[in-house]
Amino acid sequence: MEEYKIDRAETLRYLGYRGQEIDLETLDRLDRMTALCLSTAKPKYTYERFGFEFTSDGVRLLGADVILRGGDLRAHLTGARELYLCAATLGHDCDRLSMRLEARSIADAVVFNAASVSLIEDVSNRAQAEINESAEKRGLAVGGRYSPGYGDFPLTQQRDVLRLLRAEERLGITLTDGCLMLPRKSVTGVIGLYEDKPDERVSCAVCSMRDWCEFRKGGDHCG
Amino acid sequence: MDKFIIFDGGMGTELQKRGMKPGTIPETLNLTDPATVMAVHRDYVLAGADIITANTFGANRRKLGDGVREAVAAGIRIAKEAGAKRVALDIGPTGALLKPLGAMSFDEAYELFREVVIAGFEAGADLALVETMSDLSEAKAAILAVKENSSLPVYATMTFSSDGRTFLGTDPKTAAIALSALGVDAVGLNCSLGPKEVKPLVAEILKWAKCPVIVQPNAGLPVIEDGKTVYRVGAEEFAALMGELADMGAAILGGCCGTTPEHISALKGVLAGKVPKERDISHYTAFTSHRKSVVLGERDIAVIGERINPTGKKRVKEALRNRSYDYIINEAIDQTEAGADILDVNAGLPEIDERAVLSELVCELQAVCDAPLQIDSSDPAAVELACRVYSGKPIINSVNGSEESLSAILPIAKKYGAAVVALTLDENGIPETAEGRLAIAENILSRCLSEGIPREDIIVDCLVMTVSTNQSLARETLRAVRLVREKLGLKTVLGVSNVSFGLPAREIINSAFLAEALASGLDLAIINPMSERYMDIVAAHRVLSCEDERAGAFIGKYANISAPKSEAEESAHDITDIVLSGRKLLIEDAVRALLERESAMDVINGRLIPAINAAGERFDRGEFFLPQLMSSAETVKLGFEVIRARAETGSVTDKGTIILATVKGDIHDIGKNIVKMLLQNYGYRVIDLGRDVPPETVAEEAKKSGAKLVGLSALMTTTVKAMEETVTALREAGCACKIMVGGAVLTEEYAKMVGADFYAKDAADSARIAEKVFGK
Repeated sequence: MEEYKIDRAETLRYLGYRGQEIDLETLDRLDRMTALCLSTAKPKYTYERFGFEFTSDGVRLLGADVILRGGDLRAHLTGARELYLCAATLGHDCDRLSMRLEARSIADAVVFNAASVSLIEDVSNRAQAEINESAEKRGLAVGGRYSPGYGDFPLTQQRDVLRLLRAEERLGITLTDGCLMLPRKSVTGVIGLYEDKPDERVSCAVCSMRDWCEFRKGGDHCG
Repeated sequence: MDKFIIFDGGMGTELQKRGMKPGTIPETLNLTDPATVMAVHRDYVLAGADIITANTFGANRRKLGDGVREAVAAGIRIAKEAGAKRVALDIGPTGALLKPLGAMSFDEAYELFREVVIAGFEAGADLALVETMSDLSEAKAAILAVKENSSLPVYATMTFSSDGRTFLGTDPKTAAIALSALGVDAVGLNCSLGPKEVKPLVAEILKWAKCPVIVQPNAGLPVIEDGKTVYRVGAEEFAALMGELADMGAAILGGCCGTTPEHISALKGVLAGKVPKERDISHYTAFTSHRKSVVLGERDIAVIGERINPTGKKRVKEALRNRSYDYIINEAIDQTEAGADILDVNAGLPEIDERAVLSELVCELQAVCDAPLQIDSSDPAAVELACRVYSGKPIINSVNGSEESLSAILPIAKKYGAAVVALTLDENGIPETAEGRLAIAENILSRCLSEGIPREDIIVDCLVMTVSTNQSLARETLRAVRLVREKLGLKTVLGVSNVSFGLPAREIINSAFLAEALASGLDLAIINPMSERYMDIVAAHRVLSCEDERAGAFIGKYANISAPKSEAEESAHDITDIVLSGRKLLIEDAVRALLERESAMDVINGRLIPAINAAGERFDRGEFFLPQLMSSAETVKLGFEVIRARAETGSVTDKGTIILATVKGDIHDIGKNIVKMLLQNYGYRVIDLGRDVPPETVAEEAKKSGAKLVGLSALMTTTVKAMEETVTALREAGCACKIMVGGAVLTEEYAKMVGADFYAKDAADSARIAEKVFGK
């Protein structure tokens, strides 16, 4: 299997980089933290396919006892034939190391954190690529990832998504009482399979980076 | 064991085969569809399972809400009615992560398990199976809940990934040592991997477990086929592989995900006519954290770092008083990086709540530090609390030969499976002669054995006295070390540095004494690992004793040693230059040089603060981005450390008190930590309440400290509400403080909405707000 990558430009983007001159020390830090992140992370992902039908308040998964709620998710899946639930994580060791770095060097911790965000993106892209590959064979196209907490898709349904994927046993993802995922660098999502590739512009509302994004924080956006 | 015990196989997959929809909470079927649950059990009974695992894996309050008792009782009853010979109360993880990585406390986890155990015990379970654990702490909470609330035998299994560790990083050896020490009736692994993949892990567990070993793998590794997860190892192949594990010594066997009654039936066939292999249960001296074990015998000696102790250490005292452990955490990491194998942790200060602080500190240290800990306290209650939350097998420092000490400490050591340091003193003081100390060690040994503490868990401290007052006693101590080894066969430990108390150049005496003690057979040396001189001796000893095979480690450490490339050789720079370029190696000397000519106050206000301001301005202008600002801030922080180390009191650096907290429900606190460092750079005293902080705690601390400014951080959209509640709590408590808020999702508008006084758009902004509140 191809090795996971950490995209340098993306890491810089999460750090709010806007073309400043990067000194040697910072470059060295980027290299060190990128390598550390790759050697520490234990990337894992899983996904499952479901048929679904629209209901008045969301999407009912066929064969499962679950309705994923919200008009926004329904809109996202308009035109989709079936869907995948997916989850990915970097594992607890990244959180542990991040705590350690925060005690040792905040500058390191900040860069490590950004590298981790770009790595978890690569991991979930890997899962999406696999889904895409099998979808294409059946003449279907894969849409973007839509996660609990986006729009009016309740964050509390993180519980349902993780349970359906048995993500606790398979990936070690747990939830806090407030439904935040631990390991912190974990993502979940609903991915639609469409006959025609949906026209999607990535907006902040559905971007998985929205809670971390330095652009958004500055009132800006990337796309 | 004279007979194999056969467990049943997978439950969830069998229920789904019989129509349970994915996403259903399986335990709810105990009440809504008991017939289906019973059908699965009956098939396993017919397949030949000796023990049926009741359908109670996730039947805890966190997953099920109210109705735990009913669901558990029904689960046990159904299994009995299905004809089970014996029924196991099944106890899986709570689904929440424990502190320090997660938000759940050990006690909360314990309470969840306690409820399950009481219900299962009342319903007539025959044993408890604590299974699929990733977190040693959580496993411990469940095991203690069983032992303290029932008389059931308890089997414990953890689940390991293909890298040979649990999700939380525990390896099979550490799990086997630590769980055996807790006194479980069987230890082993389940789930995650297939019977082939678990083989090397089972071998490790068999080597270290002091009780029978249980193995319940999946029907192979999960494979995603056509969008669904499946397990592909069939019954015959499964049984054959399980037979190999039985031949290796596993005595309790069953299956997990994907295994079926056919798998169990085939397993029964393979085991027919065989008996469990006799195992040599080894007697080893070992200590563990949750990620690492230190075994004496595998190594000749181990170093115990002594620096986490407030005696004579201003900064440690300050950290313990403020319950703000960054300084101590750094001390811990420094010591392990310098080569400490184990860390002594002492939080004994008269003015603090040692019981609370010691367990909190133990928990914090375990998040960032893999070394096993030695819990050092004279208060038995503090020792017990710390042992309880400790994830692993600790050392207790210490017990002595007095009746009072023996009766207080030994039951704790026994219950939590801790090793114990035995001081060779008693009611009559410290005997002068080696023989006198040996007699006390002998007495402690016999008391330990009758308490059920194995001899390998007793570490004798023959007590080092200073040669400045008792010159001849140093030899006597070393003689006692040899006697204890030879006559009692016990391991020994010494607090080496005491020997030089009251003398100049203590390192010289200490290192000579260390070398002599090691030559006398000392096993554990309590020293300051930051001293190169001591660590040189340790490294040399490891070569001479053959612990360091072919001197590999020694050569790695000492070959090609050359003077480190020194930035300090560069010509002295202006402080602002040093800070802007983040050259940490230069700042300390530069500040020291300045302190020769200027007052501490002038260095802070005239040098360090303008320098960090310059970095902040660059950040504001977009010439710096975050890592560069943080690098400058870290450089300034080191400069401050130099001043703080010299200052007679903390007052020089105290420009006012600020409280920082990440609000309730939010577990992301890197942003808050960035702000903290920057504010400390400006000389403010920052009280960091951490993350996931309830509103009332913030209000309470604000009132208590009289802080003029409170900073709240929230990173997720979902926790902005908690921010509003915290602001309200502060106002209602009548705090006169100003409140600033910040975090990725916050905006000026949000900040107004939640009722804050200031919105800090980034860390540099928070420093400007502080200036407004406190004045320059």
